[in-house]
Amino acid sequence: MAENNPFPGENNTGHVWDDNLRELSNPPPRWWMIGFWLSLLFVVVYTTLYPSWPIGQQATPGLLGWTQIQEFERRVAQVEARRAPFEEQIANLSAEEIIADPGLLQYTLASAKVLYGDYCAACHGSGGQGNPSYPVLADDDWLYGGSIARIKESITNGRRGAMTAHADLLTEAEVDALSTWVVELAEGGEGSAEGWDLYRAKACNACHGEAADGVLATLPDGEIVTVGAANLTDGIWRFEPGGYESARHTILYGVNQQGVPQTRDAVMPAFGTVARVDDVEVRKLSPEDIKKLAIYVHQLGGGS
Amino acid sequence: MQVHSEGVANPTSALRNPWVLAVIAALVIVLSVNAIFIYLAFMTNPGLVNANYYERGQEFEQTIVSRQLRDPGWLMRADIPQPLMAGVETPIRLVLVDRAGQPVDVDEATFYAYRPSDVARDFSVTMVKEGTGRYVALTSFPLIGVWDTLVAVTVEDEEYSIGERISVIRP
Repeated sequence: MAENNPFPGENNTGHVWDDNLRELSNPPPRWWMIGFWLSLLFVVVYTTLYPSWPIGQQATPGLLGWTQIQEFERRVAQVEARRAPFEEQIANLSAEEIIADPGLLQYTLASAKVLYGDYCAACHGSGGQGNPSYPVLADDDWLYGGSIARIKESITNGRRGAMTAHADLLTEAEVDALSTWVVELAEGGEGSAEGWDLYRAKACNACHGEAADGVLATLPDGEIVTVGAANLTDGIWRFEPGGYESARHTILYGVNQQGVPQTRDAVMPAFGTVARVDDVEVRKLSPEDIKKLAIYVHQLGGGS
Repeated sequence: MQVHSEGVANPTSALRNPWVLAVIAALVIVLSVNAIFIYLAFMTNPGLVNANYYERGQEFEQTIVSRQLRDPGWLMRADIPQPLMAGVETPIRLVLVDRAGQPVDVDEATFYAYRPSDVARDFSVTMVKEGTGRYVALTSFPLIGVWDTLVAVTVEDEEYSIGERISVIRP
């Protein structure tokens, strides 16, 4: 073809169209070639320094020894280092002192919100609004007391309500009368005198209190003494939907009674007790986490 | 004096006037856009209109009465956390108790999310049993904005449901 090239000496490929349209074989621009070689060099350097080439189940480790898990751990350590001063303060200060420090309180609540979502929300609702059979945390009605100390106690050791099943202890008429009386109280009524007499005669006041408000005694510091029995006078039902049938069921079958299939199930697990698993001490939540959660739950309901 | 009246006499001369052409062009553009939008309305119809809406409307009262008759008096409560963020996996829980407040198990519980403006975005997730009368579904809403949710349970061929309109925000 070269011998028939009508444009010799101009570095064309010999391909000519329409008499004078030629394909030249010029080299790529210098900047392009530099970029090309540099990128190849980058690949060689990078794959030498970092894990790159797959070999069987592994990859070449790279001269720097960098790994993703190390990078992850380094970043986690960075985050923990930033949190450390706050965590240290939380560990050393009492819940009341933490509440008094606005900055620390803000950190505590943000941190506890995540813990709450992981450990509490499934039963007590995403915003503490409770669920049928699971108490509301976002109000000031507390079964076991709403002070920080009591809330911490509830989280650490759990709670297990207890009420005797009265199916064999009361007559049908008595159960009916008490259920009706409980509904009267819950609806804001005074409750019939017969109802109050029956309430006391059957020793319901031993747990639900003399005033049927769940309080057995009030200590000088304002803390209440309770066994976790519900306040019958405030219209808040421990076992929703409430009403006559609900009250009747609870009176008949009680709460957490062994051997009574229809009994109410009302158990809060303990989150602070230590269990041994394969000779390793395991607890669901650390004391600091429990302190954070107690503060979080306390502010949900405004405390009491 | 000569008067040239050729241009006036020419019946097509108005079409040479740029103003006339502009008015015609504007008219054509408006009509074309209308035609395109009518075409798109038919082609991209999300199909939200109920096929037998008239009959369903007529049967409304009967449906309500029959539902009241079948109503077992259960308390169903769905816990949909707020704020919900688009693309963030969030657990949605359902708790069911009977008239006396005892937990109830069902054959199947499903969480449905309806996008009011686009049927193609609707999705549903089967809820998993967490405990007696407690179900959970991990959901992730793909778009911000309004969604209509429905939690439906079936037990012995009867279906019960609760609905709620929610708003999903940017993460």
